[in-house]
Amino acid sequence: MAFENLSVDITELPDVQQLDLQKPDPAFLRVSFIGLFIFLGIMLAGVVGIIFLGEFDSTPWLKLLLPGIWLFFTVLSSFLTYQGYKIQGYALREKDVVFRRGVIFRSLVTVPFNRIQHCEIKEGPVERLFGLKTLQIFTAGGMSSDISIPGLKGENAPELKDFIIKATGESTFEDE
Amino acid sequence: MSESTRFLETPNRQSVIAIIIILARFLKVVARQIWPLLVIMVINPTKSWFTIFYIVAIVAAAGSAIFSIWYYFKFYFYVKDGELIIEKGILEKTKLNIPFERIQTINFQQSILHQLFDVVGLEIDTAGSGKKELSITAVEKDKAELIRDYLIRQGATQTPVINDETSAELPAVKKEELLLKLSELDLLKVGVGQNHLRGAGLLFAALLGLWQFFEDIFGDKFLEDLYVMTGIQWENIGVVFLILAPILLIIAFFISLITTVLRYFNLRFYKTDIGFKVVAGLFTRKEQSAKMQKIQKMSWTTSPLKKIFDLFDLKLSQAASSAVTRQQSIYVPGCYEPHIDSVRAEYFPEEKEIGFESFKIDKRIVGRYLLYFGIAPGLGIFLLQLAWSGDFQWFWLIIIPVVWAASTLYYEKWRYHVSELGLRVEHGVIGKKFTLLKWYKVQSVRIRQGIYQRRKGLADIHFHTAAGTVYIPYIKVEDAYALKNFVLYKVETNRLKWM
Repeated sequence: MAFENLSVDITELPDVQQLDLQKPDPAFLRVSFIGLFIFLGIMLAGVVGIIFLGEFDSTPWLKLLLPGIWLFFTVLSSFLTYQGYKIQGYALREKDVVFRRGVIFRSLVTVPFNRIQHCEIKEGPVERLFGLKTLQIFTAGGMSSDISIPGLKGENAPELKDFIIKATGESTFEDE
Repeated sequence: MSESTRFLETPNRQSVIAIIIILARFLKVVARQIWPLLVIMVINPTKSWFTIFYIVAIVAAAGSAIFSIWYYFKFYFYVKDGELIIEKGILEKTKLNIPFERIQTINFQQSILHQLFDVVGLEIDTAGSGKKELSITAVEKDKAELIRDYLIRQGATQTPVINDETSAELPAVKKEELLLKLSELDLLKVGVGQNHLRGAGLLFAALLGLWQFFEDIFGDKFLEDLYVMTGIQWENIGVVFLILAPILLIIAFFISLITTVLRYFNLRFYKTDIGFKVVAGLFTRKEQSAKMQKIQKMSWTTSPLKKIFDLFDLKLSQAASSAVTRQQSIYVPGCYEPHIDSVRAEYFPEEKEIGFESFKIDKRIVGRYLLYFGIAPGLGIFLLQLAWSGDFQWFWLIIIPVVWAASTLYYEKWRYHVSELGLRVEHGVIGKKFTLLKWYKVQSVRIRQGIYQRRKGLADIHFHTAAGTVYIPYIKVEDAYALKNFVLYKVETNRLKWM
């Protein structure tokens, strides 16, 4: 193991790798797919429009290529959405909150409570239909540092928010 | 509130000079919009163009003048209940409340007009929100200094301000220690040491745009005329590039030399009692200051050209909303090693005393980068070209050895040094960039793995701060987690204010 020069025994520290992540609500999978299908539907309409209105006399193979691309994209994005749902999850620890996501590039972000600026609860129109909410956690570290936890049950989101805000409030600072 | 800053309690207008400056700015915008008209008029002087031009010019000028005066009379600033308040707007009235503690920095800006009338523009940067920067166009210089000192001091102490007579006892004059003054020779060195290749690239892009413009004006005959005049086939982009590249490089060299001199003329870098301050510029004199507390990370860079002169560029990154990042950093070109050392000692006083352990990144990064940035695009374009037109454009394959060499250099140069209190990283392909980060400035930690990295047990680790991200690519996943756990432990047990 590297890092031998540090004063604490790093093998004793709480490990973010050994975590039971809280999964999003099963309804979130449906929400994700509805969102995806709306998008795919609009794309399909575009493809159909181009095929019927466009000129393909010199390049007839384009007529097949466009729906082919659409089909490939549909299969791929459905797969990614499903896998993404399975991988996504968050965990609250004593002093921070952890969030994992990403199928191709997987990332695990940890935000300490004493670095949280504020929290927001958001719900999109489809989410509202299924009674789901998204909790957004903001830090001063900019967009890539913020966490957005989707697929929370309606009643859980405010609880989680209150818990985090309380934990955030307990952290105190001294001047340098 | 002391006697000298009492004026802030009642609504203040800006200096009358503001009218002139607003007007000048407005005219500049208008001029930028209509200059093609002027060009066409000179080339093709018909009467109708003249008429249109004069009408446009007169309307624009009159409109701007009315707008500027009106705007001036509708602009107020004052201090109330611990907030700086700015009221402005003609049709859409805006009232901005800025709590003192949210004020990050106050920068002075002096264009040539400002200098002529001895006024300064104030730019106020705030924390957090993505709001646009707040600025006051022109204030008398002595007044501006009073305002800045008052606001910065109030923000730093974060005490309630209302009619606090004791604040009058604070020393009016700040301690300032001159760390660096850029001499004429050093200024020249900084100019020579700029990245001229990038400049040439930008010029080339601009030229392409201009090309289009000339074709629009002169029509198709343009290229023929040029061919007759020069005997060169200008349609062939390769030929054009070969001829233009050296010329552009020379022009770019002089342009960057001139802009450097304009921007960094008489640069002075001070250490103040609360942080750092930089003043520089020939025509537009700019003053930027930063509170020590708000500096999140520091970095310094060198390049082969700069190395000849032993020069570094220094950057101090301050906490900022991402919208205005560029302006939040203090940038000091032309530092020698002792200057860097003294700033390092200020940001990270313990750096010299505590032990750092040094590590390299994983070698497999070379193969991956070669595949992603070399083989995939190089071979891809080559094969597409072959399939499309049937000719072998070997030229595209050059990309592969170039990327191989670059990624090998990148790998060889990467080092990260871990300590109890912070991190130092160094990397680069041609030049080298050093970054210093104290752990307690970290906002969150991210571990990121692509598919290949997951298979090989590798990961990237990102440390997000309020002034940008520091990251280490391709390290063993166990190391990434160990480092992450350690840094989180450091952040979560640290009680120091990161800002």
